[in-house]
Parts: sequence; C-alpha cells; structure tokens
Amino acid sequence: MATHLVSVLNGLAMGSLLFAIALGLSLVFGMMDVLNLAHGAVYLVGAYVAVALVTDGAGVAAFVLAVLAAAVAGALLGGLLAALTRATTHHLDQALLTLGVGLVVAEVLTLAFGTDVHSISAPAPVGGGVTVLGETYPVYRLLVIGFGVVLAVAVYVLVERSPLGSVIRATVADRAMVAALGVNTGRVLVGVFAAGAALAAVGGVLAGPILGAQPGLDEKVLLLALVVVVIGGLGSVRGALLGAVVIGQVQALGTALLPEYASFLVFAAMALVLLVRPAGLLPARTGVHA
Amino acid sequence: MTDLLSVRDLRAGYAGTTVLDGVDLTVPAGTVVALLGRNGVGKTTFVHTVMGMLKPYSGSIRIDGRELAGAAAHTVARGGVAIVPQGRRAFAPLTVEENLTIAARASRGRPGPWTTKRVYELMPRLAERRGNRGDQLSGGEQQMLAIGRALLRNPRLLLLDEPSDGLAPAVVDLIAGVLEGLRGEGIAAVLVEQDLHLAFRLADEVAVMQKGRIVHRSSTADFRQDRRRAHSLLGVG
Ligand SMILES: Nc1ncnc2c1ncn2[C@@H]1O[C@H](COP(=O)(O)OP(=O)(O)O)[C@@H](O)[C@H]1O
Ligand SMILES: [Mg+2]
Repeated sequence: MATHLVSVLNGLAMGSLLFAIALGLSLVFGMMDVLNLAHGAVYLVGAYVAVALVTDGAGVAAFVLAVLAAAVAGALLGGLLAALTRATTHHLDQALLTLGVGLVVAEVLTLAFGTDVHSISAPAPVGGGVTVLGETYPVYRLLVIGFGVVLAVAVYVLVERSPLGSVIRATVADRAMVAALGVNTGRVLVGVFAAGAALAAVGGVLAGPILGAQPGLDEKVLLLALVVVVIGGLGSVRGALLGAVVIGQVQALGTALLPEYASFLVFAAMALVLLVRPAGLLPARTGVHA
Repeated sequence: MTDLLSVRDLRAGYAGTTVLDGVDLTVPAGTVVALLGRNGVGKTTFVHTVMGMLKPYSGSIRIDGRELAGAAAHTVARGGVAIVPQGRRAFAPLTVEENLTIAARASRGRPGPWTTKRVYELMPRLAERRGNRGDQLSGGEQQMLAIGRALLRNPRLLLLDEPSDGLAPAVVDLIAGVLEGLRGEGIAAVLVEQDLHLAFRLADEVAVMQKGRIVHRSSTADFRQDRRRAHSLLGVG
C-alpha cells in the first residue's frame, strides 16, 4: 500500500511538471496550428539555468533566482519563436523552423555545459524527507505537487474566468473572427507563446532536482508533452491538466511495476485514448459553424 | 452624399484562383445596399476581403476615404467596419456574456451608442441566455449574438452575410425586426441575402454579383419593378 502511495505521489509530481510544460505547447497549437518543436529545448534551457545557478547546498534564494532567470529566458525564446513562425505561413515550414531553433539551442547548451549528466540539488531547507504513511518521501516533491495545484488554479482563473482568458479561448476557437472584432490577435499569440515558453523553462528548473539536466532530455520531455497534449485535446487547458495527471500516473506506475515497459505504457495509453476519443479527452470547442 | 465604402477593381481569391474579378462597389454613408447573386459567385469572398479577413490580389478598398486594401482585420475593424459573418461564428466555448465582452472591450477605443446593456435591451433573448455557451444557443440566438457583437464595435459600416440563412421563418422575422430597428442609427450596410423579401425590406439599393463582378446596380424600388430583369440576374422569380 505504502509503495503505491509513493508511486501515486511521484506521478502527481511528474503530472505537475508535465502540466507546466505542456500548457504552452497546447495553447500555441490551438491558436496558430503550430507545433512548437523547440518546446523541449526551452525546457532544457531552464534545466541548465538551474545547473548554473543552483550549486550544491544552495539556498532558496538561488533557486528562486534560477526560476526567475529561466522565466525571462523562456519568455524571450518564446517571443523569438512567435516572431519567426508568424513570418512564415505554411504549417510545415513553421514546424521545421521551430525544430531548427530547438536543435540550435540544444547544441549551444551542449557546447556550454558539455555532455555530462548534471544532477541538481533541491534547495537545502527542503532537501530532506518527511514520513508519509510510514514511508519517507522527499519534501521537495510534495512542494512540486503543491506548485502544480496552485498553477492549475491560477491558469484556470486566468483562462476560464478573466477577460484576457476569453480572448485566448476565442482565439483558439476562431482566430479570424476575433481579429474582425478589432483584437490584434498577433499580440495575443506572441504573449501566449512567450508565457507558455516561460512556463516550460520554469518547469526545467523545478524538474531539475528530479530529472537533472543532460543532452537528449529535451527530446524526451517534448515527446512526453506531445503525448499529454494529444491525450488531453489540443488547445485545451483542462485537457492539458488531465493529460498531465494521467501520463504522470501511467509513468510512475509503470516505473514502479514494469520498469522496462514504462515508456511503452505511456504510448499505449495515448493509443488507447486516441482509439476511444480521437480528439482527446477534453478538446477545446471550436467555432460554431452553421 | 459621400461614399463610406468605395471599392475599385478588387481582385481576390484563394491560392491563386480568381473569385473576385474586378469588383466595383460604393456604399454611401447610412445606406443599406443588398448584395445579391447566386451561390458561389463570390459574395462571401467579397465581404471577407473588405473586412481584411482575406488579402486581395489588387484593387482599392476605401473606408471613409482611407485606403484599407490589404490591411489586417483588426485595423479594418478599428476603421469602423464590423461583420456579421455567414454561419454566425459565435465563439463556441464562450458564454453569451463573454462573446459580447470581447467585442465591448476591444471597442473601448471607439466610443459610441452601443453598450452590452443596450444590446441586451434590443435583444432580450440574449440577456436570458447570457450564461449559456455559444454552442448551446439556437441558430436564431447565435445570429442575435453575432449582431450584438458587431454592434458593440459601434460600426459605421456593417457587413451582413446571409443573416437569415438556415433560420425558421418566425426567427427570420425576429432578426428582420432587429435589423429594421437599426435603420435609424445611420449605419451603412452591405447585406448579402438570399431571401429577397428580406433584402427588399431592409435595403435602399440593390447590387447584383455574377462571376466575381457587379453586373447591376439600382434602387430597390427600381429593381423590384422589372421582374424579368431580376429573374435573369438572379435566376429566381
Ligand atoms: N476558403 C476557400 N478556399 C477555396 N475556395 C473557396 C473558399 N471559400 C470559397 N471558395 C470558392 O470561392 C467561390 C466563391 O465562394 P463564396 O464567396 O463563398 O460565394 P457566395 O458567398 O457568393 O456563395 C466558390 O467557387 C467557392 O467554392
Ligand atoms: Mg456566401
């Protein structure tokens, strides 16, 4: 029972991180039909920001600084990607463009940090464990779960309850119509692109103490985020949340029960969802066309 | 009277194909022009091009003297043009209130008589449905929402693309009543409409499009008098 609890908690921590990472990917795709294949590289930028700023035994201040620096770096990269993709019109060109940017960014990171596997320590005050139902569990991971809950609530309020959120959801549903109402949708797109990338980079910092940083991690994370987005339904906040929770659990349970098949299980879950609900579990509603 | 909308030699289409093949059309301020024509002649393409939702290949679109051909839709909207599109295009995941608020907030730079409150007074049905999502509305309610959204732009030129399409006769009557009530507002309009009774009821003038060009222009009264000409232009009685 207790080992199951640990697995469930691990799944929730992973789900929290995946939600932070997948959200931007999903909203950007919903708005402009662009798959940002540089999203994993943006995540990796955050992870290496943590490598640079969070040294062994570093305190909370260094960690917070890393989060802020990653957010800024992510937002700048996102803004750049938005500008580049908006300058081209074909979807394939746009996808290839983001892929290229992602490869260049990952290569630069490898040049700067080498090919070593870096581990990142949790900030000292929360580096220990607590006893949960007789099992010791890392405090840091509980905090990551808490972050996921706070983020989900904040994003829900922003996207589902605020005027800006209405514009974002409407732009996902019918961008041309939003523009015809006088909204500069280009600015909305750049903002969402930048915010989503900032979240992915922050995800890289927060995941640092769990997943570390190494070349190739960008592709793994991108793939997981894509699975989350596909399972949840493109362009949908609730879908990204549900997809992240599901994949977090599938991954953690798989790792606990069938370690050699864990990554296979993730794709099996995706295939299953697509068989039953091709548009994902909670897809965004698009425009009503009579 | 000055022309609020003046379109000259407009050419547009999709991926290289030509749909609009040299359209000339003027709409004087405060005048409602019905744009008639068979299915597929390019009426929606024209409306979208004027709105900036489709980039023209060439030609001129002047709103109040200002050249807006090729401008982005939000720029055209800020120039005083609003659209009630074919198919209505209510934002499905948004409530009625949110649909209207998007338009109201985007229009803060264009003060005018229209507020969300006044839209609800004009169409009380929308007020009753204010908490319902766009995809939970009937066709008539969606049409009202599309009209309300456009009015909140405080437009000088309204582009109405088949507002009666797919609605039951009683609902068409309701929508017609709403649009008729707007006659006193001084809003110019291009009204694309297949329902000739409705077009004649609302429009001061008639323009007929064939194969991407305007082939006839007259007052509504004139147009109605010559039934044979109307028949040959539109292929209907
Ligand atoms: N998005 C589109 N892509 C390609 N062709 C289109 C598109 N929309 C309309 N068309 C074509 O353009 C022509 C004019 O269509 P449209 O402007 O919708 O006509 P109308 O509104 O007068 O019925 C038709 O031949 C139609 O098939
Ligand atoms: Mg049409």
